[in-house]
Amino acid sequence: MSMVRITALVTGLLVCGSAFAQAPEVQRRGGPGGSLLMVETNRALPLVHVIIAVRSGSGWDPHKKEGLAHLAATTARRGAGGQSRAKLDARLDALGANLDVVVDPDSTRFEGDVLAQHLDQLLDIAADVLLRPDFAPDEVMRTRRDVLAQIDEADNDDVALGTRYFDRNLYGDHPCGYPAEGARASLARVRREDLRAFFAQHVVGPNVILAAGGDVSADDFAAAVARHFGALPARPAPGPNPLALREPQQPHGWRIQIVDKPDREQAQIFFGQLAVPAKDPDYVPLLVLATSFGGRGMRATLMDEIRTKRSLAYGAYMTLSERLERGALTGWVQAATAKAVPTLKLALKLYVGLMEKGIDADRLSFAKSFLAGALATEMDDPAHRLDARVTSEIAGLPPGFVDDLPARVQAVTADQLRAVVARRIHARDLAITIVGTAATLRPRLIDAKIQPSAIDVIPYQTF
Amino acid sequence: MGFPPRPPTARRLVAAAGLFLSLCSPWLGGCLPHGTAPAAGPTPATAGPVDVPGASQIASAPLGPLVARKWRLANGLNIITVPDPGARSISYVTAFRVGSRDENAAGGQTGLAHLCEHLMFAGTRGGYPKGEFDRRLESAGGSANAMTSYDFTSYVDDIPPGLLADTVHLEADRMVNLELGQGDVTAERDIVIEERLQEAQDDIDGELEELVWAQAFRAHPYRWPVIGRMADIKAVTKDNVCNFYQAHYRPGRAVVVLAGRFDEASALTLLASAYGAVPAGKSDDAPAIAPERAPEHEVRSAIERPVPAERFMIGYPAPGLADADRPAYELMDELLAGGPSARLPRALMVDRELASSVDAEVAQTRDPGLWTIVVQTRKGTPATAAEEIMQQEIARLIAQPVSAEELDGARNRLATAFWRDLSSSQGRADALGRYEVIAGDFRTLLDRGAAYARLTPDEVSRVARQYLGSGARSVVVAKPKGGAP
Repeated sequence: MSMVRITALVTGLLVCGSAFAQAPEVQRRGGPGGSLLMVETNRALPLVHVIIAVRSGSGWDPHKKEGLAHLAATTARRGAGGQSRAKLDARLDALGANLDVVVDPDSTRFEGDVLAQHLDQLLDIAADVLLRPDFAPDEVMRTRRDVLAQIDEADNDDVALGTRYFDRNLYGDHPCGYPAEGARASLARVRREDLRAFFAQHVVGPNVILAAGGDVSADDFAAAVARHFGALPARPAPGPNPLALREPQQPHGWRIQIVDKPDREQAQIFFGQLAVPAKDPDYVPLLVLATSFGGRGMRATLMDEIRTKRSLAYGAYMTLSERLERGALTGWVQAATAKAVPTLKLALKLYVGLMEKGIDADRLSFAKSFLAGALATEMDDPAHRLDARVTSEIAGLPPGFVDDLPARVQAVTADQLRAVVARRIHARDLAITIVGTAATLRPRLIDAKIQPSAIDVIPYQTF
Repeated sequence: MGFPPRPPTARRLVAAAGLFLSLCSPWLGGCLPHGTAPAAGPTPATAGPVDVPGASQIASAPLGPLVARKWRLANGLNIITVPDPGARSISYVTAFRVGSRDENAAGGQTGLAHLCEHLMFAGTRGGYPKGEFDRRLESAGGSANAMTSYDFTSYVDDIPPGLLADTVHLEADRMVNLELGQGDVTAERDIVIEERLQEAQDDIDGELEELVWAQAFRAHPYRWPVIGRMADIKAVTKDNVCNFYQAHYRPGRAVVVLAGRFDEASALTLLASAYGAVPAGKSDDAPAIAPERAPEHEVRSAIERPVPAERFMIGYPAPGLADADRPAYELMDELLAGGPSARLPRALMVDRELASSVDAEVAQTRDPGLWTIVVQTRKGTPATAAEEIMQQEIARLIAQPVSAEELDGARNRLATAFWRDLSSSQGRADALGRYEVIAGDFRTLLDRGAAYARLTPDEVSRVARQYLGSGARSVVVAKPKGGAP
C-alpha cells in the first residue's frame, strides 16, 4: 500500500497533522579527546537514557581468545577507581540507576537509565568504569567464573542455544562465529594483561560515543561529560576493524547440523546466509526483502505460509543484521518434532522461490508501506531512538540515517530489488542449524533426503 | 513528581502472549453474542476539558507533564486517554476483564481464554473477512499483538496516527461480532499446541512456573496454566470458544486505552460513535471466586531435566494488586531482589558465588497470588544450599528493619523502572489498562509513589513477616538429568 492510501486515511479523521510526526532533533558535537556526543532532549519524562559506546567489540577478539572484549568490559564494571563490585553496585542502586554491559561484534557499550536529577552521579560512576578500571586479579578470576556459569545457564534456552550454534555454522572460526561472551575454552586463555590492553587501545576519544536521550539539554550533557570524561585520551582510534580483513566464507550447499539436546518435543530451526554491511547500497533493499519474506508482521511470506495457512508453527521469521561488516540473513522457525522436517522443507522451498522469482509489485508495495510505518512506530520512545542512532553511527551510516530510513525504504524500486535478489540471495548455499533431539530428528531428515551429504550432530554442550 | 512502581513485567504472568496473531480457516458459522454491528449513536454529553457527546469523564490524573483521563460510555465501556503531542504513534489497547480464572477447569476447558484471544483475529459477521484485521493495520505500518493472563486479556495495536479511525472500527466490530468456523478453531488450536510446546514443555522456566502455581493453590483458578492443559487444548470445540466469547466479551468488561499522538476530542468522538451503539449485553457479574492465600504450608517437588545444575523456583504468598499491603510488599521485593546490590543477588551471586542468576517477580493478580523467585545454581551447588541462604536473608529482613538509606535506594530504583516502563506510548497504554482491569482503577498505579513514600522500615518488616515468615512456600527443583550438579 502506498503512502497515498495512508494519507487518505488521515483525511477528516484527526487533526494532529501528518501520518508520522517529525523526528525530534538530535544534537551532535565533539566531546573530550575527540569523542562524539549525541543528545536528543525530550522533557516528557524525568528520565535519561545513556549509552557510552566504544567502537570496538567482540569482532576485535583475537582468535582463540574470543570473549576478551566482553570480559574486559564486565570486569571493569565490577571494579574501578578503587571501588569494589559491591561498592559500585551500591552506588548505582542508591541512585536507582543501572549501567549494563552490552557487547556485540562492532561495539562495547555501557548503557542505562537514570532519573534526570542523578545523571551527573551516573556519569561519575561511568567515568570510573571506562577511564579507571582496576582489573584486580581476584575480580578478573571471579568475573571469568561468572561468565562461564552464565554460558552454562544459557544452555537452558533452546533459542539462545540455536543462535549460538547457527552463528558458528555460518561464520565458522571468524569472530562473528562466537558469542560475545566467548566460549569455555577461549575464556581460559584470556589474561589480565589482555583486558588492560583492550581498554588502553580502544577506550580513546575518537573511538568513543557518549549519547543521551531524555530530560537533559545538549549543553548540560556536554558540560557533565567534560567534567567527568576530561581525561579521555586523545590517542588515535585503533586500526581498521579486523573483521574486514577476515572475510567469512559463504556456505556451499545446505550445511545442516543438529544440536543434540535430550527430551525435546520441538525443534528450533535456524537457516541463513551471509549478507552485506549496513553501509552497502544493497542494505536497504535487502531490508525490504527480508521484511516481505519474514519480518515483523503476519503478512510476511514465512508467517503466512507456515503459520497462517498450515498451522505448522507458532512463529516464522527472517531478520537482517545491521553490522559494520558482513551481517547475516537469518530465518528462524520452531515446530514440533513430528512437523520439523516438513516445516524446514517448506521454509527452504519458499526461500528458493524468493531467489528464483523475487517478489511481485503488490508485495513490494505492501512491504515498503509496512516497514516504513513500523519503523516510525518503533521509534516512539527516546531510548529506542537513541539506541538506533548509536547503532547506525557505529555501523558507518551517515548521520540522519535512522530518521531518513522510512523514506529510503519507500524509494526502493522493483528493478533494484530484482538486482539485489540476483546478487545477494543464495538460497542453495545455507547454514542450517536445528536444536532438537537427534535420535528422533536425524532419521526424519535422512528419510526426507533434504541434503545428500552428511548431517552433523553436535552435543549441545560442545562449546 | 510522584514515582509509582514498576509495573511488574509480563515475564511469567502472561503464560500465553500471542505474538502476531491471525486466523486461517474457512468460517462455517458465527458466534454473534449481541447481534448488531456497532454504529454511531449519541449518548449524554458531560463536562471536562473536552466536551464529547456520548462520553462522560469520570476521573483524571497527572502522568508527568501529561494527563490521563478516564471516560465512560452509556453501555459501560471505559476509555482512558493519554494524549502526547511529542509521540510519533498511537498505542491502542483493549483490555478485557476476562482471563483463565473464568474457565471451567472441571469441565476440561482450560486454555479457552487464550484460544479465544488468538481467534479474535478472525473475521466478523457483516464486517471484515479473515486476515483483514492484520492486512489493514500492516498496510500502513501498524501491528497487532495480544496477551492473556489469569485475570485479563489485552489486545495491543501500535499504529501510526492516520490509522486510528480504521482501528477503532475494527476493534469495536470484533468486540461483539466475531464470526468463527470449526476450521478456524482447529487451525488456531494447532498453533496454540506449538506455542505450548515452546513456552511450557521445552522451556524449563515455563514448566517450573506451572508446577509452582499448581501445587501452591488448592481450589483457586490460578492453579491451572493460562495457556491451558494440553489435553484440554486438543479437545476444544468451536462451541466452547463461542460460548466463552459470548459470555465474557462485552463493553462493561473492557477498557480501551489510547496513548500517543492524537487529538483527544476527535478521538473520543470517534470512539463514542463506533462503540456507542454496541449493546451493553447481560449483567456484568462475574462468578464469585473465593480468594485463596496460597500456599498454606510448604509444598515441594522435584523433576529431572537437561539443566546444567540445579535450578529452582519458589513461590511465596503475595497480596493482590489492589491490596493495602501491596506497596510494602513491592518495596520488600525490591530490597530483596530488585538490583545487583539487593540482598538475594548479593548473597547468592557475589558473596558466595552459589548462583549465576536470581530473578524475582510479584505477580500482578486480582486475588492473592505468588511472589516467585527462580535461581540457577552453579555447577556443584545443590539447591538446598542456595535456599538456606535465601531463608537467612528473609529472616534478617523480618528481624532487623532496613536502614533509611537502603529504603531510599529501593524507592529510587522503583521510580526509574516506573518511568522507563512508561516512556513509550505502548508502555503507558499497557500499564494503565492492566491496572484498570486488575486493580479496578488506573490511579492505583499512579498513586504508588506516594504510598512508597509513606512506608517505614517497620512496615516492610511486618509485611515480610506476615507473608514470608510462616515458612509456607511452593518449591520445585529441576535437577540435572542422570547426574549430580
